[in-house]
Amino acid sequence: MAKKKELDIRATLLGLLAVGVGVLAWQMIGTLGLVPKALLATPAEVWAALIEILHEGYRGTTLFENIAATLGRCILGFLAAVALGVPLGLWMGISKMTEASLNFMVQFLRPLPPLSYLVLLILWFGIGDFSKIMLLFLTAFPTIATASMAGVRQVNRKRIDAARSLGANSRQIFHHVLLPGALPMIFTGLRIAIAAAFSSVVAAELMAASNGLGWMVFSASRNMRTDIILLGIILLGIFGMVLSRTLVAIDTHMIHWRGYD
Amino acid sequence: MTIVSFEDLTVQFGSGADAVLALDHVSLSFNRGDFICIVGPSGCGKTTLLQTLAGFLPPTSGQVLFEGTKVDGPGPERGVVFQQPALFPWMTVAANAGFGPKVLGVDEAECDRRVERWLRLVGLWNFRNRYPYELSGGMQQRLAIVRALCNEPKLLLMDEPFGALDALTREKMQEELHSVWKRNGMTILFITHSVEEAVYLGTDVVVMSPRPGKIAQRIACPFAARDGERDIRSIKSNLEFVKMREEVLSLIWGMPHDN
Repeated sequence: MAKKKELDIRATLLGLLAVGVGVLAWQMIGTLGLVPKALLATPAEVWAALIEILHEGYRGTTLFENIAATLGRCILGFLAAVALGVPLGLWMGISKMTEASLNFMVQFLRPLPPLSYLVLLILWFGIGDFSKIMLLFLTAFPTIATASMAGVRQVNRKRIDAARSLGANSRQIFHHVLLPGALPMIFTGLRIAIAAAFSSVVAAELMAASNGLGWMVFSASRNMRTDIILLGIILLGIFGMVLSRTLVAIDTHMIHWRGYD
Repeated sequence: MTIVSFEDLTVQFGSGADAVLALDHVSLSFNRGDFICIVGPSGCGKTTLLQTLAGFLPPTSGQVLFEGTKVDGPGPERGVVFQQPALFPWMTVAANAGFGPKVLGVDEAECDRRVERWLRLVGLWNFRNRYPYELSGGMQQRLAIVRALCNEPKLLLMDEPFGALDALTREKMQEELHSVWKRNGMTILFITHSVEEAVYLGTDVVVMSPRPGKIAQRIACPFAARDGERDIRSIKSNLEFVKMREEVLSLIWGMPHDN
């Protein structure tokens, strides 16, 4: 056990070292003038921009407001997709009739680039938050529904038979066997969906928003403020990771039997 | 007192030229308290027979009667144990064991009582809060059997339940099953590839032949019902035992089977 902890610590340190080296190299590129400052701000400048925005905000918005706006839209759209997608997907997995009626639409929606219908959504719902949340919902929904449907279908037949033999009725089989059996695949779908939703929210903010990290990046690019652009990008990366990691943590905690089939 | 009756049972898979006759007009009946072991080469229809009695497979013609009524689907009075334990990995050992009584609405205190009784009996009580994937193969199979037994079924159907276990564990399980059967007066239908296992456990050994599935012979078997000496080694090396085992094996070898 001690050996493993040692390895873990070493791995973490190595990771931090790699990031540190990357940042250092980045700083050197700027300091040595290898790339014009106008094109690539240095880490020091990005840091300064962070401090500046924390104190003065950016064009009337606080940093917190922008982060909250982006995350909020993403999470709301995602949760809506979960609320509708999981039950519908499960139902499609159980009922051939339901699958037959709905699957075409779900599979049609899935590969569509969200930006292709964003304009339509803005036309219908305006440039406020609702159209963006709607966009995220439509981005995440097909993946979640498909994963739920596949999840319920791949539940080990023998487990269902065992439950029937023990006297469980359909409702009990769903609750105690189908749903838990489908969870690993459902969560895999959730993880994919939240990543897709997050990149969509940024794209949507680039097009039509008045706050949010994506908006901040776009707005800064209009003013050639590469320090704020980079700050925005770094924050987006960090929060994207936070969202993913949170979902993974929930997954690992809830689905303790992953890998044991 | 007859508990199960297969009456002129035929099960056909597919149709036309591709049809496979898994069971061909099979008739068999047995009584409460019997331990019926079914043996035979691959493809003789043993699993199909069990599946019709369990209620997973409908007959093509003929019928299967349980306590005089036609079998119409799976039910808790006919407990089933497969070769793969098919436990629920998201539930603890105790929750798995108590699943049957729980879904049948048995009173919680009674559920707990049964779970404790059976888990203690097979030595799993100390693992009641673990998960199935933390158990060894033998322990998992014990849990699968306990899960079926907590429903106090009148009939236990077992399809090669010890097939995936190592030789030592397998024999221990044979001994345990035998004593559970003896003590509770259960009726068991047991499918196995091992003739030795069948002769050791069964009150009757039913030998089936393949293509199409039929019953070749039914042999009354004295070893299970005997009281007294229960040392498994002396029983299995007993001359009478060996003779019977060899007779059944010769019977099976003489049949057409896949290579």
